[in-house]
Amino acid sequence: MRPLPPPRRPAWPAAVALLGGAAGCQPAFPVERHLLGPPRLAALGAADGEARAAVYSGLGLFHDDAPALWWSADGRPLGEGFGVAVPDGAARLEVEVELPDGSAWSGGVDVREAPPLGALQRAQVPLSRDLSLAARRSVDGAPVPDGVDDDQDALRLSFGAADGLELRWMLVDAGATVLELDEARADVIAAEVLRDDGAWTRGRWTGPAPHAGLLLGLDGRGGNRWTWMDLPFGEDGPWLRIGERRLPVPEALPPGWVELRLADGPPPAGVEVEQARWLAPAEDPPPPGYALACGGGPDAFDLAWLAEGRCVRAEVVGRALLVLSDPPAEAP
Amino acid sequence: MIAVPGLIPALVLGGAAAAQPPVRARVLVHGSGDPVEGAALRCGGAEVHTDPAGEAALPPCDGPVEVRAVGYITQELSVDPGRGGVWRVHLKPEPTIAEVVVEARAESPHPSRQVLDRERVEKVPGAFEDPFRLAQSLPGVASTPEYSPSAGAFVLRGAAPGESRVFFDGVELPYLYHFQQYASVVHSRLLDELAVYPSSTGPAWGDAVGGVAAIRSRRADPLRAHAGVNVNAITGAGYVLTPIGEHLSLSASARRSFADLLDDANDQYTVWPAFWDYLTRVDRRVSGGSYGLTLIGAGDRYGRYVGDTGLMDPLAQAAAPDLRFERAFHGAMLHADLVRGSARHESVVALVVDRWAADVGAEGQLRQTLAPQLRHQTTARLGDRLTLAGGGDLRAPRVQREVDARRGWPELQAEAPLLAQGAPLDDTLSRVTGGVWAEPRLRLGPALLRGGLRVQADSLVQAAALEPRLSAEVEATPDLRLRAAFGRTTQAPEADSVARAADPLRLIDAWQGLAAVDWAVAGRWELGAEAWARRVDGAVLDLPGAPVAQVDGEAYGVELTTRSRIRERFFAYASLALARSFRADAPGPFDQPVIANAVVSWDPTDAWNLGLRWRLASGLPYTPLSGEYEGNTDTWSPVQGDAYSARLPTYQKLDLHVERAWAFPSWTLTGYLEAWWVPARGNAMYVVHAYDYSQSATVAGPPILPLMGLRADL
Repeated sequence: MRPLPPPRRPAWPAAVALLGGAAGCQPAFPVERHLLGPPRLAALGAADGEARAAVYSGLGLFHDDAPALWWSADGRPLGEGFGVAVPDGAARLEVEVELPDGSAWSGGVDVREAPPLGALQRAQVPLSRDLSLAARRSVDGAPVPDGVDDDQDALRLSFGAADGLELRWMLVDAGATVLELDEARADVIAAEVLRDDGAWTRGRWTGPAPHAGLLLGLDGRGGNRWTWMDLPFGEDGPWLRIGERRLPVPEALPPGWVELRLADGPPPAGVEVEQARWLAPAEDPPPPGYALACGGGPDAFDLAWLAEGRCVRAEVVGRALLVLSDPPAEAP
Repeated sequence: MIAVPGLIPALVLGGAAAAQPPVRARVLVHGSGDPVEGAALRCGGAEVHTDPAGEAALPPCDGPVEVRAVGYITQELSVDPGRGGVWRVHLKPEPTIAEVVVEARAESPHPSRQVLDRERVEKVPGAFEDPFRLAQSLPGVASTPEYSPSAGAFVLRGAAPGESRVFFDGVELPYLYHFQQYASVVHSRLLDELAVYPSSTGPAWGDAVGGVAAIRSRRADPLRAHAGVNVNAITGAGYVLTPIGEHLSLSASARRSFADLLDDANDQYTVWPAFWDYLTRVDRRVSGGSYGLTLIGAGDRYGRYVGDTGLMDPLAQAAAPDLRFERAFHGAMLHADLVRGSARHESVVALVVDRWAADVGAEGQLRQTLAPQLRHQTTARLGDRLTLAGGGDLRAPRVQREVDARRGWPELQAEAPLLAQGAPLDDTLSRVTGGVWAEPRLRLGPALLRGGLRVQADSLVQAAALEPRLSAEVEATPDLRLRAAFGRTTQAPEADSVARAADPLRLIDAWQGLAAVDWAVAGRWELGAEAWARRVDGAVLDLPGAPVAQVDGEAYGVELTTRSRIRERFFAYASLALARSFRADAPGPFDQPVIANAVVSWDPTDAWNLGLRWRLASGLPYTPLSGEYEGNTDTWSPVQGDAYSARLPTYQKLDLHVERAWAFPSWTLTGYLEAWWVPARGNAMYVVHAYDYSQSATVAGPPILPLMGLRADL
């Protein structure tokens, strides 16, 4: 369970008497913007000529039932589902989203193509109990390619190309906390975070576990990009690196085209690698014959399809999937 | 010297043999030092009486002097004939005479009236030395949760707050409550009376379709000075009422909160809340009346984070916007109250300036108002049966508005309404609003008939209206009175709403009526019932992010009251109001179907006062919100649901008051303790929403709040 901020403490009694309305005990909601769960419309945008919506299932980075989406552009109906093409000249995309459990949202975004989000740098940072900005900013970490081997350390995520982008960090509800450090960095801590009398401290550790989240970059004009992240704490690899996803595999594989077979797995990934077979270097064209119906055409499988509901688990589990694995990130 | 046992102070009177120096006595009230006029000093066969200053020359005698006055315990004391000068005598009041006050018999030019005087203001629990806080105990006044944003709302019979007006000595003040909800800006010791006229007023009041509250300040006693200081957990205050020479008198008070002197910023307040107020009134008595000058002012300031920093992460905390709020007003009033022949003339001319500043970083609002005001009323008796009253009032506010905003701040609607709208402004709004009226009052045996007509006009909406106001009262028996009234009231929309509206606004137009019965049972208990109804055309809805609209509405209800009062000893009061208020066929924002109040205050001895107040009210309606996602900024915007289709929980509050007075010869020290208790289920102040409006919850106020204070009165 993700830690919640404690209920707001009433101020000194005189202030309660003076400005009770402003000093009342505001409840801490079980939803907040750093938290993906429960089901949520987490991002909207247009990319590569298609309308995109990051619909979080409430379960993890997978869906078991596909969400329904109805798109319109500038007030005119555009289409349903995923992979809907955005017409040239469209200025504003709008969407209605509904999950099988009845969750529903509406939203809109300006149409603006944006460059892909760059890679994250990851570092292992030893932190004390003091989680204040000053304390965390005073500590540097050691670069790591995947996650932290000591689950009591923090995983510091740095986004070097944040110029002009506002970043939103969101975690799956699985016992970790993200604390932003500045406009381009955030610390992920596998622990409850407590706030007492204005001080932020680390509470109970949640132990070695895979954590996951979403990084959204906004330019404020609709040029949105996002990436789903795996954030391993205290877990050993080897890892199959696909963007910011990290899937444990039986044995290390070189970068390039890889054939995967997935099985049902626990959250947050919802799947685990049953078989992984290296096929070809990344410079080669993608091997044919792996296209999925839910993917809409390309042979290469995108794990975001599963995270956002374009494909559900039943459509990918047991199938031969083609993915492009990345090399470890280079230290900056 | 003679020592007087017990708490009664010494009384020493000099013997007055012819060869002895002259001896005078000053007879004063124990505990207050007030002079006792007409006290008899008897010695041997001679008797003299004290003058208005409580003084008298002692008759020559060698024996004991008896000091006697109606309402006081007689004292008999030996006299030392060898000493001259002025000797003080402090008489202790007799146990209170059980004078039953029948309030329903009080005369009023308005068909519906509820009054709070200073005596009740100071003893009713829950007031905490705040006169206006008690207004919510009166029937017809909405009961709002303590400390909620609406706590300071003055809502009469389901009307919106802006549809009722509050006048201080006939002059409208910019605001009545510090921080819009904490304490009214008038020291209770300088209050003489607070009267509430809930709808269907006579024509003397206009431009208020909801109703009117009228505060009357206290004029100093022409014979002696009163002064006092008081301090409670939040405020220090002082007042003085004193004659100055033969014809002048001064009333003055000042208050300031001191919490900001003890603490500074914390994680909620960047500038600790502070307020102050003052009131100075100078009166000059002339033949047949008086002239006066009143200066009044108040100010509030604080700084706070806009969001709830307790729910933010450290980076968000560091970047949390900081609201700086500062508002103050000052007013100067010249008033005259003159009786010439059979006519009484009451006039006041005033200038009120109000400066309202609020900013969040580089964005902010400044709203400055300069408001000249004028009010006059003449009441002339034209025989035994006919009285003619007439007058007029005028307000000419000039409002300068400067707003620098890059976005709307709907969460700041109460503190910075112009900033909340989010539209840059740099303009000046001027208007002239006023009315003239006349009302003949005809008494025919047990009946009193009033037929008033008011002409109301406003320059900003460029409209005028004729407002007939008719009422009748019949004293069926000495203990039974029947009342009925019907009339029209119009009101000009607020200048900010007129300026923001896309289409021209019209006058808010209300027709309203009432029928009532007041019954004094055996001269001790009073029972009252009043049914009322109001139909409104053009009520203004002006909410952030929505266009200004005018809608129709209606409200109706019945109010039942019972009370008993024995002056200075006991009073009990209870009321039950059943009412509905609708706007555009939906519940209005202050629709409260049930409001109940009960108040008991009892002085078991001269030293002790015990009080209890209980309030229960239907929760106020609110509009539920859902969220819509804005992908450009990854934010959620509120989407209004059905207007006022949800309701806060029923509000209930119990206030206890215990007071102990220690009377010294010329001053009294009073300590008091109040405890306010709100049951947990009725403790909701307002609604908050999750960041995406997917969830909502109510914010609870403090369930129990002990308050205490000390007061010294000279």
